Amino acid sequence: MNAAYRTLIAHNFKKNLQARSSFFLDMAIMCINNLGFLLQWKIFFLRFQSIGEWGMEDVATSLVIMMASYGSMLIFFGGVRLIPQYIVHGDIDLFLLQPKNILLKMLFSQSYPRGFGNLLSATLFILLFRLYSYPHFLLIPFFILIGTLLLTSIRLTINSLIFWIPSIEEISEKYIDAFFMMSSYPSNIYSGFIRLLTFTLFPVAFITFLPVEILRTFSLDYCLYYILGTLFFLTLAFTSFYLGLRRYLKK
Amino acid sequence: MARNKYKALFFYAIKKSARAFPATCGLLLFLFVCLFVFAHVWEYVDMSFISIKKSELLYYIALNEWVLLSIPFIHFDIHQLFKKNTLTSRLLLPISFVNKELTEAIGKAFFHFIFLGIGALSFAALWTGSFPFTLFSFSFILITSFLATILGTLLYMTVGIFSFWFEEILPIFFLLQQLLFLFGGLLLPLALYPKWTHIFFPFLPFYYILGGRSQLLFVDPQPLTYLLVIGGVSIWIVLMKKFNTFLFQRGLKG
Repeated sequence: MNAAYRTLIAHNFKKNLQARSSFFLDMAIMCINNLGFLLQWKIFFLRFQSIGEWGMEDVATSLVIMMASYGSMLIFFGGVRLIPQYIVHGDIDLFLLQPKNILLKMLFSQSYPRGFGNLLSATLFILLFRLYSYPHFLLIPFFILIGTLLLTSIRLTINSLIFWIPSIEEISEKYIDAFFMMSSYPSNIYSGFIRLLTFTLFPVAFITFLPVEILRTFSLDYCLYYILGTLFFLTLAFTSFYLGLRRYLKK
Repeated sequence: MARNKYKALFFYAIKKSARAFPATCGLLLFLFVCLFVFAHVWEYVDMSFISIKKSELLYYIALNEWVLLSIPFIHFDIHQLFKKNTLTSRLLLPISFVNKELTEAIGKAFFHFIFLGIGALSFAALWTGSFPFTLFSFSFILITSFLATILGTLLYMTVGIFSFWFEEILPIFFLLQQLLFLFGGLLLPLALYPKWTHIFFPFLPFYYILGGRSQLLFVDPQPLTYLLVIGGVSIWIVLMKKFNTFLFQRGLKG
């Protein structure tokens, strides 16, 4: 990685650590928050045996992947959340004046300490549910890495729409809320047309459903969908951002 | 005179919310997604050993989400005043800051409440093909749900006032929301929680915002039960209002 980006990431870490008490407080609160969420599911599974074919361990796996991916996105690509503001307020011009790569600089421009809280709680969940046996310990970090890229890509695609429709900011926020809402619950509950939506319009299936199903069944079909889907959403994000940027520059 | 001021603020907030109609549509869309997800969760669970019907559970969630999404994000508005350094100008106005912010938020909540209420109940009625209320129980639900929305607004306001002491309030908000979901019984009705929780949950405000009110769908409620819920939510509203005023004064004194 280019030294400039490494410096940018290091700067973000330093900035987070400057307000040390706030950093640790944010992290601790996020951890408690996630543990509360886990407790809800624990109470649920005290009453019910399973949801579809998923048991508590599968739900925990999906939560681990979701939380850690979201946490990593906040730490490394936190700037993706600010892109609509950069575009609407014209701050994007400051990025345009800097040497390339504009997208990476925007993505690295912000880092949120609560992301560490998500990573910490994901680690706690792994220990609590013993998700470190083979093949979990190999595949879960891989799914988290892909999940981080996917979450960033999806957010980037939605935020890039603002280049064309400036008034879409609030709707895109709600879309993201709905996306996270859907991905926080077991995604094996959808079937038919709705399952199709979870692979396309609300691609939560790539963040939680496919990783958990790959761990459960080792299905080659699922692996193929996972790889193709990831490539598709990464390409879509880059294309929509750069097309939008070109339009912005023309204006 | 003061009453007229608050009345004007209340109606102004309603008008402002009506103008931000796309945002309300976004909320409605989010409400449908939530209900849709929960409806599916219950479809995939073996419920043969509990006495609650799936249709009742969907109504339970609908009543919870209705209130939850009607509560305006007043904490963000207050936090913005701190970030943009505009709080001082607000303090110069000839009106109590807490009362003004609260009245505006209630106006906003009222608009969302009507709009989302129609959405939530229509969704549940269409999904389940039933409407489990009598005129009396429906009136009770309307009153307690709106009171619950006001209580929720006051809780969010507390988070906003914490801006005096915290640089970032989002984690505190997440924590509050999680407590609300857990102790309020967002996903799972409180009747299905372990027995020991039934003793102390009614002493918490979260109980009155979500599950305590919605779970009356499953039981055969007596007039006293209704009165207890209305009494509980009203007491918490008074307490939280006093607490917020106190907290704000403390914040000003630094």
